[in-house]
Order: sequence, then structure tokens, then C-alpha cells
Amino acid sequence: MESSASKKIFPGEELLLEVNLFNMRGFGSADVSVEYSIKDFKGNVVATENEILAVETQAKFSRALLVPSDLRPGNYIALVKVTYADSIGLSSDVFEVNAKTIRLYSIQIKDYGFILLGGAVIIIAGIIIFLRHHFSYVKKKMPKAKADAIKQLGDEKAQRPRTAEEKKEMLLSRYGLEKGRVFLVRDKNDKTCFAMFKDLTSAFPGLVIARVNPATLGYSKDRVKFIWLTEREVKNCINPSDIEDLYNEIKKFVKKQKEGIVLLQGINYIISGTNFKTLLRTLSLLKDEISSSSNVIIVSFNQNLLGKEEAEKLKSEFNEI
Amino acid sequence: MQIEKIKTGIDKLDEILDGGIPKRHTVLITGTTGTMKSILGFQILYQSALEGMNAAYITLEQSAMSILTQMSLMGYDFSKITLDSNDLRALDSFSAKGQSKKKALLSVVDIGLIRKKQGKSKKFSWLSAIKSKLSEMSKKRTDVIVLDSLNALYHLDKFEDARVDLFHLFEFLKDLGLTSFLVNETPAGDVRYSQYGFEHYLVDGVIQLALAKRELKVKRELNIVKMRYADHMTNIYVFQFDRKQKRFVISEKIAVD
Repeated sequence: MESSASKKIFPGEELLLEVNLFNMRGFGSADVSVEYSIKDFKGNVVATENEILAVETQAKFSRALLVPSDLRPGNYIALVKVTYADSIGLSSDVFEVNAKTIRLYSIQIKDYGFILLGGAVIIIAGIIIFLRHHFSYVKKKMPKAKADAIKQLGDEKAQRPRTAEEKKEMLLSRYGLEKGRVFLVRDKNDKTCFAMFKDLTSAFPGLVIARVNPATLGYSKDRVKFIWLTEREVKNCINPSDIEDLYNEIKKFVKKQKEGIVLLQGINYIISGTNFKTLLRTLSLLKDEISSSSNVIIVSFNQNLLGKEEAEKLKSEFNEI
Repeated sequence: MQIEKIKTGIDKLDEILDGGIPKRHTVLITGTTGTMKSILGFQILYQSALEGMNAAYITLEQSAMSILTQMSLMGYDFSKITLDSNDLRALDSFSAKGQSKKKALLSVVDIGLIRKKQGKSKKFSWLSAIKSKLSEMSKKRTDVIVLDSLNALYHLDKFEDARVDLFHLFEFLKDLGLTSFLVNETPAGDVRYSQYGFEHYLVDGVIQLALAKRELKVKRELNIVKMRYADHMTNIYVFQFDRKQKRFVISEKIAVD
């Protein structure tokens, strides 16, 4: 963090800050909480503002923070705190509040320039801190395969696939998938598995069996077959108790497709219609079924909704990415 | 030694049965109410007729009209076979116009109608009526029959010694060269295969149908308890009728109870 002694402002004026944020997750929107504050050197907060921002890939914006008109002259700290999940990015700078009596028009104009310059320094430092902190968070918290997938995104930009086969290999490699296997994806809100499936089905034919109506997910109908897990008797649906139908649909798909991707989302609903042993047996049979094929089955699961023992059983039988 | 077999017409079931049911076998189709015992019996007769055998459905419970209505609704195409029945009204309703006599015959014999014609005053033996009708039919060649049901026969006729009487009935069916399917309904929760608990010793095969309750629905299940001369599979299978495709679908049971 750099500071400049020449940054001066008068009470009652606005301190301009410019912030630039990057979403290093690589896909999807990240909701970050941003807090702007002014503190004195004793740690007292003299002004503060908060807001929530959705960052797709990058967000650049300016904020004006009002300096209280009764603020005593002296040195103060301007703070920008960015919070995302468990990760926090902090950026700060020192600026000086002058007594109103010495305020002159020409100086004011000049000082705004310095304030903007100071703001720009804060922004750059903020970006560096946020990125370093967030990237280290991603590396620390994410499973290795996911972190590798993110790293690989950068590598892929440098080396674009030339053929459809190359693209398929690149996509499988991106998510650490291997043909002929069943993988578990730990996903609290299913966003990751749906995004992953959408990405994969840009090159592979797919079958999605989901608790949510798959027609609402926006996948290509040409490449993706949808089956809705529901008790309703509508077209392309399976009752969660009809585990044999579900097994047969997947079996039929993998037999037909030389290389296909199956996404199974909503296993807790299947368990509610049968039981955990039934789910485990079904997945184990499918594991054997596709072992000699080039298909991939992705099973999304929320560890919080499964018992610890059940989650361990799943993880002992199938690879988690 | 080559064993001649009749097909059920349900692909997976024929596979489970090691190619079908050996000819001249007496087979018990048993299960609780609503397990499609009668329909499975009719399916085997229909398939036999399609393959050129003469088949007969001997009913002691439902009327011929009721059976043919039900089977018609399930999608059985009677224009592919020659339909016959002692119930002329039912025959008139379901026979295809100009049906070829060259096609094999599927007869629906309503024993209740025979009883009515005898009149109330006369002593009537249902077992004798069945035997008499089958003897008459076998002269014109009959290959496969379904008797629906043993329970009704037990109820309508008094058996002096059930084990002996049934033994003689089953021998009688074999002597006529028939492949016979005997429909038997068991009460819910009864672990026996049949009413007296010894019928399964006397027959050559037992096909058991059951209802299995799951969390959100009830599924029909099938297993082959025994089938002499066949290296059949002993797993439990899910037995469904696909209403859209109008056909039976059998798949291996995956659910763990």
C-alpha cells in the first residue's frame, strides 16, 4: 500500500475512490461485499459505506465517500475492504484533512487531482491484494482438479484446440475427467455441475437427469437429452422411486453414444424415493456398465444433505473432482 | 436332448426362462391381487396363437366379455389371430371382420356360461365341466391353456382330498398334451405360493408375481421360483406394462429393500 503526503482534502468534501475487481473463479457471477471507510489513527471509524456487487469477470467503478464536515484536521486512513465467501481483500491509504480556513479554490482543484491519483493508487493496490488473496484462497480451498481446471483455462487460451477431438480432450482435461468412469462433484447449489455440463456438452452429446426441470437450464436440445426427476407424470420424466427406469435410461444412452456425458443431479430426491443403498447400488452398476466405454457420468452431491457415513461410502466408491 | 419350449412373447422373460417354458409343463402363476397374473397368462396364450398354436383361456371368474374388453384396452390386436368363445356376444364384439380361419385359434371359454345352461336344479361339477370342455377341445387340437383361477375352482367345487384331486387334474392336463398355466391368487402377506401350500410340489413351474411398496409408489415384481428342465434365472425382476408402447417391460430389480 502506498501513501502520499500531498493528498489533502477539506471537511465536507468527497473523497473519490476508484476500484477494479477481478473474478478469478473464471466462470459464473460472484457476489462480493465492498466496505468503504475512513478511520483515524486510533481506529475510530468516522465515515463508512457498504454495498454488494456482482462481479462477472471484472468490475471497475468509482465511489465518492463524504468526509464529515466537522472532521478535525489531521491524517486519516481510507479503507476499502472486499469480502467474498471466506476471503477478504483490504486496501488502504493515508490522506490529510486540512482546516477549512486554509482552503483556496486553486488548491482545491489541484488537490482533487492528487486525490484522484491517490484513489488510483488505492485501486491498483486493491486489485493486487484482492487477486493475490483470492487466488491463494482458490488454490487452498478448491480440490486439486478444480484448481488445475482453472489454471488450465489460462493454458488453453494459449493453445486453442484445432479439431473436435482436441476440444473433447481439452474439456475432459479441464475438469480432470476420464472416459469410462463415474465422478462425484461436490456442489452446494448445483451451479458448478450445471456450468460444467454445459461446457462439456459443447463438444459431447449429453444426458441430464435433474431434480430441476432440465428444460429451464438452457441446454441445446440437439446435443442434450433431458429427463426430469419428478413425481409428475409428464413427458421425459422419471419418478424417483423408479430407479430401474433411471438406470435403464442411462444404460440406453451410454450404449448408444460412443462418447457421452451424463449428469445426474438430485440424488437426495432419489434417496427420498428409494433409499441410500439403492442409490449406491445403482451408481455401482453404472460404474461397471460404463467402465469399458468412453462415456463419463457426473454425479452432483451436496455433502451437507448426506450423512457423513453415506458421503464417505460414495467417495470410497467413486472419484471426486 | 432338445426341450421344446413355448415363448411368452416378452423378450426378457424368455431370456430369464432360458428360452421359454417347456411344452407340456404345468405352471402355477401365483401372486397377490393386482399383480397381472391373468394378463400374463393371456399374453402367453396370445403369443402362442401368433406362433400358430391353438390356445384357450378357461375362466371361472371374469366373463369372456370382461376379459376380452380388458385385453383389448391393453392393446392386444385380435385381428392377428382367430378369436373364439362360447360367449357369442363377446365373440361378436371382438372378432375381426372376415378373420381368416387359417390363423391359430384363441378361445375364451366361460365355464360360468356352461353352468348357466345346465340350470340351477342339476348338480354341477365345475371340475368335470372343465375336463369335459378340454377333452372336447383337444380333439380339435389345443396346445396351451390358462385356467383362471384355482381359487375359484376350490371355492366352487368341493375337493374330497385336494392333493389327490389336484394331482389327477394336473395329470389329466399332461395326458391331453397341454402346456397349462394355473392362475392362483394368494392373500397379501401370505408367504405360501398357493392356497393349500402343496400345489407348487405338483406343478413343473412356479412364476411368482408380487407387489413391492417403495417410498413413493408400488412396483410389480416377478421371479421364477422353479421351472423344471430350464436353467432359469432366479433374480427378482421389475415387471411393468408400458401403457404407451402397450407391451410388458421386465428389468432387473435394482432397488434394495
